[in-house]
Amino acid sequence: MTHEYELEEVIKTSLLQTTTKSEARLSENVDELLGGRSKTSAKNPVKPMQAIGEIMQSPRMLKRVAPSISILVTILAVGLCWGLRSTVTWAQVVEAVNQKSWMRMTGETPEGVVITWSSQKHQIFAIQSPQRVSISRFQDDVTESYSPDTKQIFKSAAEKKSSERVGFDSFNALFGMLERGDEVLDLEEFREENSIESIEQSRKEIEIDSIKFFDYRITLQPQEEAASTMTIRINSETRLPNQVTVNNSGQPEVIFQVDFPETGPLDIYSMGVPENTQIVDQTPQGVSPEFKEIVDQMQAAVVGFDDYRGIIVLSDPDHPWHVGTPQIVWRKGNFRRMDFGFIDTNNSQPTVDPAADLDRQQWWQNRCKLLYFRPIQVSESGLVYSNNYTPKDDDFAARNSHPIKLDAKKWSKTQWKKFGKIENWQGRTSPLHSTYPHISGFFTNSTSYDTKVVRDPSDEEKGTLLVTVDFSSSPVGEQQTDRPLTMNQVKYVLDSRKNYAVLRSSTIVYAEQDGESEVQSQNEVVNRDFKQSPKGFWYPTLIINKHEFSMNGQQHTGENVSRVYLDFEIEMPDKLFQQSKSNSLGIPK
Amino acid sequence: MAEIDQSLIDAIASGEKSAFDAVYRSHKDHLLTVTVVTLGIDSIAAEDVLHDVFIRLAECSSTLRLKVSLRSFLISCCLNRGRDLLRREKIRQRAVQSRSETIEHVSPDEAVEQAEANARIIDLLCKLPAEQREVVTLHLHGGLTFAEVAESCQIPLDTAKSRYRYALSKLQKWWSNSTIPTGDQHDT
Repeated sequence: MTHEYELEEVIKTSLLQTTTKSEARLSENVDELLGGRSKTSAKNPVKPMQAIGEIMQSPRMLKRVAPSISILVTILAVGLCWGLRSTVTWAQVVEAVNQKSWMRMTGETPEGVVITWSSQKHQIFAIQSPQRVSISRFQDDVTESYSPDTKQIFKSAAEKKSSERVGFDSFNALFGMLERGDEVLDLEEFREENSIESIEQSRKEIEIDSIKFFDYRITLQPQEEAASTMTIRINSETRLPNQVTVNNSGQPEVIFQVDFPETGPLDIYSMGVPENTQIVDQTPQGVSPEFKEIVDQMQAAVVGFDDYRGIIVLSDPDHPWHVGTPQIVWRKGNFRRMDFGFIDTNNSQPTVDPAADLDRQQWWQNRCKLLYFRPIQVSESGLVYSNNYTPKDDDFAARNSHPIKLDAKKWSKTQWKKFGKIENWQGRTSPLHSTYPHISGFFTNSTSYDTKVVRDPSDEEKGTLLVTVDFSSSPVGEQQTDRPLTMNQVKYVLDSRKNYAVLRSSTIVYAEQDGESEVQSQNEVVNRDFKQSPKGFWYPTLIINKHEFSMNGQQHTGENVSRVYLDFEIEMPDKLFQQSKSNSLGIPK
Repeated sequence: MAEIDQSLIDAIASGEKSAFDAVYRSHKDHLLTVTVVTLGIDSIAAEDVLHDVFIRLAECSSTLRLKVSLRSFLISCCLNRGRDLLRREKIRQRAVQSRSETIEHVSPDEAVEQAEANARIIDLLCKLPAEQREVVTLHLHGGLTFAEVAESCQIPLDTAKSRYRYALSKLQKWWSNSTIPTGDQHDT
């Protein structure tokens, strides 16, 4: 079944269009009306805001406006992928590019100098040209575009199908494939997504000032575009792209120089747009500025939070602190990893009750050395990979009481599968996601979320805020069309003095049928005993999770606690975040 | 946004044709769709409605002070004008004209695909009870917030939301099952 927001998009785009005949009639009549009012119109015409607004709203129009730029990133990605295939090892190229914070391409076009910026680390793609400056911050789901003609910044939700998004995703997908070490790259899907029909390539070795380069000449035929020939010059030593020459049919040759600066544009103002420029906000409306401010603050905390390795001990509420199942989570910039540890019944080590004054974090680090760990999820380059970790004869009961005891021999081999984008990261026990959840999804995916913000609610401490979000969700799956519509209410109590950290959150799902509504399930998360990271961000060291739901007419309840031990000093090599076959990688020494 | 809307109106008042064009081009397709879906009239009649509304906008721009968004204002004008015409001239309701005739500026393949998708979803919308389709089209085609929809329809906010949700739930089922219901729908 189509998801609600997909259907909303279908309806939104199902606009009828006026005929040229009626437009001409109106234009003629209006000319008569307005003709005598002013003689300044020719001298000082109002720049139609529609012009850029339309560009922002229509991917098709955007493609027409900047064909060479919009497809350049995509083509370069394809070119890198195909062109280098037989010569250097992919791991070397990927490693070389990934070590760079930014990739910048600078070219002199007939319209002036064009610069594109791309950063996987910051999830940003930006274009700077005399006609247009735009920046897409994909983590925030925001695109800002400035035209010197209108002298306005148009801010909108980042279009899923925009050229910037497609180009940027292409990079991520390609590098993801390469990093995974696939012998055969799944380029069919990639080519279809980017509407590229045919590819030819040749290679030659050249030497400039005693430096060896490989020139890869690639001819591509994008759908509905003229064929493009690109020559990508790769430094044979650094394995980095150095120059890209573009020949579009019937257009002058453009040469882009490629470099990898340490810093790049994080917002539109750092690309020369005046700070006092008027902003036309076209992001989905119906959300209060106050709510947006909270979302921005939480997002800033997620981005700015220190790198860490955390041992998160899941436990039953009546267990002492040293009894539980540890998960180990790593966060390094945009990279994530989560491992799951349990007692191997073939090699179990008895737990000795620790002394009362023991360093609990140190105790758990030592304890982890005796447990069997499985990596569950890793993420780099914006993509999440998941490892199938369920044993063949899964014992549900054994898996849901702590500490978990399982037979390691029965587990399948490590097998990574693409799970999805970073937004779908399931490391829910990790304090970052519990404390600063991705609540911007409440207004970027659909217009049918209602949010309310109450400052200093009467039954909470001063300085707290209560955010309430109401939304409906429909049954999912073709077999479930007769299930009732559900109404959801999510509440967050945030602390404005702690980077807007979530102190408590609850989710209640009401099932509605025949005008009656009843609670179908509810969940409450309480974050307690906050500490500050070295950079000053707050995080809880105790997370209490309570849930209640009805199934087959029976009510089920449950409660668990997670104790959080974060280490901010540990070194984390990048290979930790790749799809390694080893289970023991990263376990505390 | 309200300031920009008002500055465009002021520019029209001073005779700026480009400002008028900008307003027209920004809103015309949304207004046409909302008018067709809400009033159940054909697109030719709806274009007449738009023509009258925009002529009136040009005439009254010097005295017009917006209290709501320009889109919201224009939608109200179109629906009021359409209802007037329905009452006074008794526009004969006709089946929605073939949308493929009205789609321009796209390649033939895209036009066919777009026309089919548009026709299907507009047909489904027209099968909804009138009060539900009005809420859906005002919110999604017109871009009005639920509060604005409630005000426009003169119904409580909660009613607007529940009508929207019931309508969307129904549309989802029809859209996924490829079944277009027949006859009037009376449930709310």
